[in-house]
Amino acid sequence: MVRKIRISQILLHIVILFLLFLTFFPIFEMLNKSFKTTIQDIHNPWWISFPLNFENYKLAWSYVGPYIMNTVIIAGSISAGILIVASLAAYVFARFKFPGREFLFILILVLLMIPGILSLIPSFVLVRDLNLLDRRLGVILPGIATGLPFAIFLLRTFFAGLPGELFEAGQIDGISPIQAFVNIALPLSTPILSALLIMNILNSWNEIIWARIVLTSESMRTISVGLVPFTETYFAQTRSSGPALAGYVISSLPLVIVFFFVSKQFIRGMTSGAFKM
Amino acid sequence: MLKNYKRYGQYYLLLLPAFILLIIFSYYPSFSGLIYAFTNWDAATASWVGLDNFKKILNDRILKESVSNMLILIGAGLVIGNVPQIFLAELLFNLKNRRLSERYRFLFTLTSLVPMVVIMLIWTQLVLNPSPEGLMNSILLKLGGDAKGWFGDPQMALFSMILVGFPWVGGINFLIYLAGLQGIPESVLDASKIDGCGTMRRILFIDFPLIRSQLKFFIIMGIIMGIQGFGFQLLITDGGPGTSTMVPGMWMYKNAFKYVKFGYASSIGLVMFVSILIVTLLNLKFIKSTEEEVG
Amino acid sequence: MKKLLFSVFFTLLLSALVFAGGQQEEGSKEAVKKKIIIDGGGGIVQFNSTKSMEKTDANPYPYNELETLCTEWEAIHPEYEVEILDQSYGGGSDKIIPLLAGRKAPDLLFTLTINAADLGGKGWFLPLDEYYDKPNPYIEGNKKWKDIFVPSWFDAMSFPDGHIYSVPLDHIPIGIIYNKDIFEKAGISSLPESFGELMETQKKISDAGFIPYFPLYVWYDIFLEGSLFADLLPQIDVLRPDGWSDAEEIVRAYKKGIWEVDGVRNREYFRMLKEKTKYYPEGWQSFDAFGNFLQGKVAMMEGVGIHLRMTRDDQQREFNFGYMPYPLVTKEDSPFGGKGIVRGSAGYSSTWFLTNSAKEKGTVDGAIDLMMFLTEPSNNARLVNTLEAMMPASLDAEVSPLFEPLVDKAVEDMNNDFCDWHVFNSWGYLGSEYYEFFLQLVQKYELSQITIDEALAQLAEQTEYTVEEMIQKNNWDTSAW
Repeated sequence: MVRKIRISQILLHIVILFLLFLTFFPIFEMLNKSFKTTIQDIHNPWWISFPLNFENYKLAWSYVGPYIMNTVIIAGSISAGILIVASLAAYVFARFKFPGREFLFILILVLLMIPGILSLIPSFVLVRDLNLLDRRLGVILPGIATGLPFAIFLLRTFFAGLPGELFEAGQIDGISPIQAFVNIALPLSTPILSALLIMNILNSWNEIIWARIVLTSESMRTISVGLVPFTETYFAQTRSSGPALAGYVISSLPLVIVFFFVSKQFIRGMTSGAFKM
Repeated sequence: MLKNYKRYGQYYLLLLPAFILLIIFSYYPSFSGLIYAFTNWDAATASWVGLDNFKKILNDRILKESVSNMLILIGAGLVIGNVPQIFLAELLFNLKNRRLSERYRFLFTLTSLVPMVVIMLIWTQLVLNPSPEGLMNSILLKLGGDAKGWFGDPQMALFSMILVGFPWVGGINFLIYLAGLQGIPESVLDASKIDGCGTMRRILFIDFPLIRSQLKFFIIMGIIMGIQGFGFQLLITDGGPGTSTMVPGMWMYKNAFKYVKFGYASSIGLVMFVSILIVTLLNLKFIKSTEEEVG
Repeated sequence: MKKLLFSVFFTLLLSALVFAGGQQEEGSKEAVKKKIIIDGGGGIVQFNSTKSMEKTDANPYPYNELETLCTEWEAIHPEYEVEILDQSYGGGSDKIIPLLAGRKAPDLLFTLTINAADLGGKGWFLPLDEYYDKPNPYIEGNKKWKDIFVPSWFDAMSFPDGHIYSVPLDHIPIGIIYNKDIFEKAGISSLPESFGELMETQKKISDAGFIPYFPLYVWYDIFLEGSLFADLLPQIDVLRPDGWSDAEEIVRAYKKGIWEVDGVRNREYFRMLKEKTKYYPEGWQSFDAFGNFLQGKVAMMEGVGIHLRMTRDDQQREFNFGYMPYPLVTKEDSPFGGKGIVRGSAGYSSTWFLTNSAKEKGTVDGAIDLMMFLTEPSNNARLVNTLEAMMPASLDAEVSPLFEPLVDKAVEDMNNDFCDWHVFNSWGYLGSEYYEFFLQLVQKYELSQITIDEALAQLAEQTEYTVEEMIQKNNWDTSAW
């Protein structure tokens, strides 16, 4: 019996490691190719070629480095804004009954179903008229609005799943809804908030079209705006993706760091049971 | 009564920040985009054309082809987006070593940081490269099969798209299933062991019903995103070869930004929006989640 | 501990939000100067400065000539300041359409001509005809600016409304690069000069076990259509007799039955389109053609300037390469053949547009002057040749030695009264919807998803629709046809 269990456990590890190997292959290739010169990339596209070419990173840094701070500010603000605004709204939707509650909630869900690309021109004209072009707010505010529906949806499920007794006790003590939100709901929801945080940072980190047309001056650039066009032209001109991939490695490092710090919370958040219907 | 209103007022006040942002930056642009469905807007001028665009939709051959492509992709997406993830969650759930299990979880989630460009390079140029030296083709040749054209073959292109990302376990969705599994009370698991219930039976009859509400979430989200999605086409196939990987989202995009026919594109968008809405409402109505059944 | 870290992180984010909200645009220190913003190009036509001017393996083609020229121009025109977008929009329509519709595009915007026609007629671009009739002050003795360009290529830039909106800075060298070693191994001694010889050559190479040929984009498809329809030119090119068929002339030819979609001639065109792919490998649509060519697996590859440049610079290349022009379609190849098409260049296919932003900002004169400066032959040569990817647009500008054989071929063909590249390209001038429809259709047909009859029937349907739409959209006076 004991031996049987051990063997099956070992088998489990083998299967998992195999899956892990397959899923990590793209990461390996990203690192591998990021050290290739154009010529190495043509003649030996998939296996390691020596000497490793660190020049790629130097070049990529010039397209990525200056924009990291901007990207942190923008992605950070968008994510923070979403968390704050969405958690408030989700809390109200989850815990209180009031006229129009279902209607308003569905009104928010509906936004998930409208193809976003169609509103590109009206949005651009709007942001121009609000005098937000070439300002970070021109990316941040629409970014928050875009992320809100999903966040509200998720957080509502989460808040609804919190035990009601907690809040009833609070109501007897006569605390206001805001106090209950800050003192009871928020402390319990750090995991789901960090899960949302990571997901939103990831989204806004990689967003390209909108940031590209709103932020025109170089001092306002985000990483993807600097990196993606460079990637495209570099590939068109040299048929190689070395420096571009080096740029992707650099630009994902901050994400890995953030991820490393909040991964426990993140995983707890993802497993907190908010993702259900 | 008055007190009630005061209390309601407080709730509305708390919803206000969200709605102000949404009204300005989401509702206004989205609906002014959709309204153009009844015009011939070309990004500069627009005049009312009534239902002309919708009549054109009915005769749009490419749109028809793209709908069937989309249905195949959604169907496949629902399978490969969930089955492997549930499988991985089961594997991790059945691990006795908690520490290692957590390590694995961390590593699998890390792969969600890989940019699309890298996935694209690897799958189009390495794995599904149409030359005999391509990874998949060389395996096929060794096994005595023929080399395939993959993305270059209209019969294979959709299938190739689905293959991308094999074994489809990276990312974060498996965590959510894991959560469902971890929600199973110990007592139930113990009881199943005592009853001599095999792993497969346990998965089918105990685990599966308990992750139904997660599954429902992913099915509904998968359909909502599946109808709208065209990222892969935009980056790689452009809907081709021919129209073999065209989907309505991509066709809408092409009409808008390539042919500068925003009016027609908006009408495709409007039809997509209404279909998603109907499908979602039906979904919500007919797929009951476990909690509702219990409660 | 984790909780503490998390809250610290969260506070940081919050303060970032506040900080971002307080940010303002940079002050306008030099408000006196008018600012001209120019987009540096995209894809293979790219004049943006590289971030580093040090030539390394990672940075094989450092470049900053546009920047240098603009600085020189600024010195002559102190009232202006030129800003080159450090990252171009590259003609990407999902970026440039919102910018144009919002009147916030760069003053000089790069666009591929194939996309540009759909952007016309909306007041986004300014017509340049009157400027082209003025002398270019940077060229001694120049009477009209337009005289410095190749006349037929210049005319081919015009929009369906007959006006010219754009300025070319370069033209694209094009032809077939071939692997001399494979040719030798396959026992081929002479280069194919006709379509039939090209097919024979491909067969020999295929028999020798190599991939014979890879197309690039659809250049040869354009070449073939021109070759087959060129002798109809006198009947088609009547509204503005200038040696090529513009949109209105193509639509008129359709209406008059001169160009028949399901006619014998078009059938012949489709037959040749498919025959051309006979020896292509399976899945050729998604092949990495150039990579395979450089690895020595492919005998012939259509290529533009950058391919020629990279093939030359590839130190690990293990074969000798040569260049040949496109094979012509002779009388033996097809009853409709026998007309030569100018080889060696694809003409002015990427150009710069003066946008509505320039008009609003009052920088039109400055922007035009800058373009005149950049097309002055010696400047134009500096701008383009340093990059070694294209050839200068200006007729009198010197060409970089790499492309000299190509120019010689083009000049020789022009002197032989060969027809122009744009002589007749039905699907290139009727808008991008028709263009893409045609390409999709031809792909399906070449890959045997549909038969020639189905293809032509579908094309006929689309043509009827597009033609009516073009007439309506452009208000053409059909009675004058």
